[in-house]
Amino acid sequence: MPTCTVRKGFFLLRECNQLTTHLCARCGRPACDEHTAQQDDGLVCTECAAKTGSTESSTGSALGGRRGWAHRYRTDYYSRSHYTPIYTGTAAGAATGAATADGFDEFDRRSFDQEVSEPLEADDDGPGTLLDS
Amino acid sequence: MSLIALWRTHRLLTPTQRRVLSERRLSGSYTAEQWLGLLERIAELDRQADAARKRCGLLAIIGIIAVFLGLMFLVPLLSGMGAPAWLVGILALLLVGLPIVCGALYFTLRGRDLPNNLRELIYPLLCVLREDVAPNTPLELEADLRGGMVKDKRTDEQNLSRGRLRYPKILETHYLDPWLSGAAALADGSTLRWKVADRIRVRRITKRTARGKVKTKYKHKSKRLLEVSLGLRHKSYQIKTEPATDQQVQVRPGERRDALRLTKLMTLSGSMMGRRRDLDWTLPLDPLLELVSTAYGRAVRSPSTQGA
Repeated sequence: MPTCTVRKGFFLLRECNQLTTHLCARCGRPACDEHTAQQDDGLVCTECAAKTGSTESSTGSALGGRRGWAHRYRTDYYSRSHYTPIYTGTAAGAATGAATADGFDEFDRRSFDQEVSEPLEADDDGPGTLLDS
Repeated sequence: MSLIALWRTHRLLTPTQRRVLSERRLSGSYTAEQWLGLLERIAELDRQADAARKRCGLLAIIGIIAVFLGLMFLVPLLSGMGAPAWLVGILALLLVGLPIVCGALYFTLRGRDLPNNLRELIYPLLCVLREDVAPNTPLELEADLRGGMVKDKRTDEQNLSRGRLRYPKILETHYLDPWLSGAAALADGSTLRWKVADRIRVRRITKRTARGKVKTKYKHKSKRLLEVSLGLRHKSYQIKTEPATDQQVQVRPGERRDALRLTKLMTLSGSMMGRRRDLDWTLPLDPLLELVSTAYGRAVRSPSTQGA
């Protein structure tokens, strides 16, 4: 069973590592009950919800409750104060999920890091077709 | 209706929550979850009460305007049109009654209002600390939300007029209000302590004008001291050496931990209308978090703990 990969903490970041069967509807990462919130598009991890929610009130919040509010406030606070959290998780977590100084991690960069596994589609018309006939 | 929602929320309070509401004091050592469970409904009640109070105040003002306009124009108009006297009487009663009832509700709610520091600072601070405290460890918290200018917080009082004829009385009163303090053990083995204290100086100036009239005005000056102390374990952290001119951070080495002590002094501004003793200077969350961030910014993880 996979473990929750949502990073918990505020000044100190570490993985949650709770066993879970849920996957975030947006980023596809495993997320436990404590770190998920029901949104319009399904069960979403608090980090994805934090990127779209507001930090207005910590009481009576509909978006994942207090933990969701804390994640949203964390995202907002890091961008305002430029604070870099101290990572106290595992080496595996550091390799896969730890945020770097710019706040982005592997999951944020994955769409830009796709390997070109397949060659470009070959031209079916034969050699020399790029030249005007 | 906001008053009905307020009444419903108030009915759901537990005896402990009602005691916190009436005494305006928090003290104890519970886990972060327990603190949040205790304070969530109280914070929500305070939010609803503030909204209801604003609405009552607005209706009272509208009601006062409606009384003047109604009694000056509407009632004579209706009487002139031959409306029955009982109808005119009921209308006049409603016009007069609305501002009275709304005004009474407004002042009642204002008298029972909790300072916004509970829902704007203490509750969000607990939400943030819950993320970093060691699991199932108690978090000490003490909060005194009675306000700064109560009798037992008075530290000094003196008359500065020195027999001046124009200023027969200048009464200066000093208050010291350490209204928030707490301590927590964090998940990395560090210990965090915080304290917020207000110093308030109030001057009540009585002046005799040239015509012999006596006037009184109030002036105040207040400062707020924020203090955060972070104890970092030797085996987990090393403290970066910074130039000695950094007055805000004090480092106190210890046997097992080094303590970083940071302070911030804030000047509180605002007007003081008459003798109002319910000045509410809400402290936002960021200044406290910035002190803790600055403390962690001075620390580097020891090589032996990186990637553990």
